[in-house]
Amino acid sequence: MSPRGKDVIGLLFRLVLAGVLGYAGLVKVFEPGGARIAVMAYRLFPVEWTVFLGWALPAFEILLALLLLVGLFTRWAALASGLLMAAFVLGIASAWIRGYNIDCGCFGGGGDVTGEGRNLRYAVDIVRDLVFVGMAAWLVVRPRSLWALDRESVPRQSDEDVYPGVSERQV
Amino acid sequence: MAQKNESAKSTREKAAEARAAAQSAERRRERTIRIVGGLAVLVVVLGILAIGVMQSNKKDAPPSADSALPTGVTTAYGYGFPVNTAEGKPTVEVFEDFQCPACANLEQAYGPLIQQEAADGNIQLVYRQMVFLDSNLNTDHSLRAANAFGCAITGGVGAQYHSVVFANQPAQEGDGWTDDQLKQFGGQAGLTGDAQTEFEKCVDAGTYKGWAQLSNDAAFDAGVSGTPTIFVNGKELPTSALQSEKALKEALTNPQQ
Repeated sequence: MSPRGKDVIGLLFRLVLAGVLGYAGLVKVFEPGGARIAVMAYRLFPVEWTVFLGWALPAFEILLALLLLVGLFTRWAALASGLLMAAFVLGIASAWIRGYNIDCGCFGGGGDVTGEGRNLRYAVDIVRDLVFVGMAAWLVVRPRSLWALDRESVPRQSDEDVYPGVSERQV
Repeated sequence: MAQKNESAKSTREKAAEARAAAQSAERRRERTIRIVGGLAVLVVVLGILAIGVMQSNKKDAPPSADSALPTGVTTAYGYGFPVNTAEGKPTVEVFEDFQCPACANLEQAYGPLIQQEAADGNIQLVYRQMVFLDSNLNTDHSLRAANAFGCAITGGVGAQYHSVVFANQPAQEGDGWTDDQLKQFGGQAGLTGDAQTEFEKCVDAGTYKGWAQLSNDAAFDAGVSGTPTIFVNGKELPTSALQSEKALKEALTNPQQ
């Protein structure tokens, strides 16, 4: 694939991840107590931590979303996004294995729910998050993309700009 | 030939110098973008967070330590309503939201059994009301029902009222009850005459809305994120205990340590 094509894919992945994280973060931040109930439902953290996590989680999601949106620190933002999504996968899997019927709280809501359609719900959540992990991994490996503030993402005018002397050697 | 080479070299050197200058300018520009952009992003995030926290605090406004509490309710059991008194027996705390369909199912299947165990003095039963579904469903039904429940507790028919509300839960989650319905339930719970009049006044006044919030927050602080949840001596009852009346009775009255 041409570098240009890869830049377009990079842009696409950036925007998808920014959209998902931004939406998830905004919904949570405008719920009472942030994502506290959702965090609590996983029963992974002491109750005292859940107040902090309830606010920190959506704030972090929005931060990553904005960075990816404008293409700033793309590699690091993508790395953090991928790790966050991977953590969500582990969290959902652990709730599944331990037999809790919870709403993943991915996009607001959260807490305990009825067991109806439980396996399908968990599976869909996990597969979806894994797809996002894949997109983030692409950006970690190749952070360059179209329309980004990062310098390395600015389309190069010519190879000579980046590798001084290259054109001379080729002559 | 040599001369030509020399001039070519100096041209190349000049070009290299110009490139170096352009590159360092570019690097400075890049750093500025990163710093300014990073700070701008941070400011936006903190702004959004501040708005969210403020809105959340506004919605939670009523609870204050001096909110009126229904008769018999104290900070013991996290503002829960002790249905009976059975010292030395297992403490069974039932966390519910009146709007939660699963709570109505629990109530229908095992409510009478649980209340009977309390009446027989085998357990110390506490109802701990939650109202968090209001924010999920964007309603105020949970809060109004919990307030009316508080009024019924003060009127001496808390346990009965509790059953009546669940028995009359709307088929569609979120449809809730009207104030008139909540008042009628008082009559069905056994209130008559002056007691019913008092009760209706209390429902209209929203006397125990603050208590409902306190109770909800206390449940969160106890780590309860969903309803129904049952704690026996402070430990969450596993769902396996809800498979049969026998299993539940055993789990409630003979909790494993």
